[in-house]
Amino acid sequence: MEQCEERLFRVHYKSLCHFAWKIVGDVSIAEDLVQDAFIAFYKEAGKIHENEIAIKNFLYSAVRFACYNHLRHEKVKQKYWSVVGFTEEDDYALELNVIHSEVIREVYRIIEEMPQACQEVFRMGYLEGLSNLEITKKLQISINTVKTQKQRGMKMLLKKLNPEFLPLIIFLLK
Amino acid sequence: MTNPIAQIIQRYLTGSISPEEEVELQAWLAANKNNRKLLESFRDAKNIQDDLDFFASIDEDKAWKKTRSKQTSAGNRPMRKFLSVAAAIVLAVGVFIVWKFNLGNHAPNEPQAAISHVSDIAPAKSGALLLMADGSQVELAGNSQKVIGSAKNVFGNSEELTIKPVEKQIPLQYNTLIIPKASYYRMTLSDGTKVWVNALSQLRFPVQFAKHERRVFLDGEAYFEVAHKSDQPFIVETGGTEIKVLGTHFNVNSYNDQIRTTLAAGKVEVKRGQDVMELSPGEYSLFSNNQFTKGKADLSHDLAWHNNEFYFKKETIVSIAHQLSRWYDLDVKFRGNVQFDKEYTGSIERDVQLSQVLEMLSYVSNLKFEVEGRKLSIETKN
Repeated sequence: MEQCEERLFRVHYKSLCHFAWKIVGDVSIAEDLVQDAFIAFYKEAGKIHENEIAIKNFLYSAVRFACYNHLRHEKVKQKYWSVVGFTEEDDYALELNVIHSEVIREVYRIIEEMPQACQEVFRMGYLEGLSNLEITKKLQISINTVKTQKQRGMKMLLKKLNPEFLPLIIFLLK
Repeated sequence: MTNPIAQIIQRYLTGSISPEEEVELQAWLAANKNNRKLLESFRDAKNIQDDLDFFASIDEDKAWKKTRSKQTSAGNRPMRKFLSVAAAIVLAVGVFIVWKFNLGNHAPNEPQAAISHVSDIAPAKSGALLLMADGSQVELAGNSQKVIGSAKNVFGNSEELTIKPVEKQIPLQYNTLIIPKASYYRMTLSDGTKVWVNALSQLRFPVQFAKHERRVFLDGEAYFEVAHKSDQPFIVETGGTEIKVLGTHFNVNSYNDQIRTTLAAGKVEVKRGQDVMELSPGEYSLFSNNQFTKGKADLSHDLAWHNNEFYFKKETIVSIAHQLSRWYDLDVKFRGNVQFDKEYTGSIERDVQLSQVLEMLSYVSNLKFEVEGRKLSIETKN
């Protein structure tokens, strides 16, 4: 039971924090709210369907309401509107945020697993948007090495990414 | 969460959108510019880098332990603030103490029992003194730009010194940039190389480099972003060690009889007598007690000063005191039986008053601080 709880925590913790952070704008508050959501979940665990999607929905909803409560409580709505730019009714925007957080989690996990040299080139090339030539200068490696490492990284990403996200990643990296 | 447009977006992003849905999506995008902004935000690589950095910053192990302890304590009482304070106190008892202080949330008038001081001491400011090869001295202070040197190609104020390249030949002569305690400074050399120089350091450089190499001399600490020139290597000489590069980003720290070179990007060659060591990004070399070693660097630690942070990692109070003394221009004294082998870990911004740093330190240690003029005394709390 405990092991199962911990696994669940590790799978969803970072992406939930990311989701909460986008709403409340503060890392430590976001972490706090997500931890509370997990505690609420463990209490209710018996009543929630054991299906991954149901669990995920529960956690995201709990975090989302906790975030709203927090914002109301803190009376920082004014700031919140200007930062986040959508209203509580905009479920679709939130759902987009959920997708966003989940995608980032996948990408993060895969990049973390790449070998060091590959990781660096991949980050520079795709995330920081540097050209191959700029990377050769920065890292003092040959253009062929840059190309090989980029391809290697992309292959790993494509191979390991949940196929659900695949078109999105290509979209991200275009 | 059953808004139809959300599902359509999801299908769009995952490439399974139907032509009818495509029409709906286009209408939705046209309806409100925020809609498009949200969608576009997925494309921005800068955003993704921020998001990935966010993921990297979250510590799951710590969070899992914290959640466990929240869960078991006080039967799930509505918790938080109080418990996290309690947890912080428990943590502070340990030997390795992590403290991260968010100044933005800090109330300014909290009691500061462990620190007694008459007047507070401000952090280091940007500024330096320039000794020109011809013997003239220029104080780099104030906002207005001074034009320095016979070739009129050196410009400086309190923020920055810039050397513009000139066509005509200038004899190779070295000038000295002196950064005293409680100061820091940055400069751009004639080849475009940028140098950030830390407190209590000196950098010797020419107005124009020799044809075959670009050589500077450092005493103290500096971070270099070297302009790439494959036919003219850039060499930093410090305490008998030569660091040779073509175009890279790296930090050199030669405080306290040791020389530590930390490479952020590119490639460098560190040479000491016959010994030559090549560094790859993320590696450091250290020369200390006649030993020449290298290893994997903690970049956020070694480059913290460049990121305007104090970052102590398993550091003794002596090492911390050294850093404070350079940054705040202090004389430090230890009184009584202060434990010198105890290690502290933590970070704080560097542009804060001394009292704020001492306040944090006194929270997490059993130390008491007393400031009088420029003298800082450290002793154990009774």
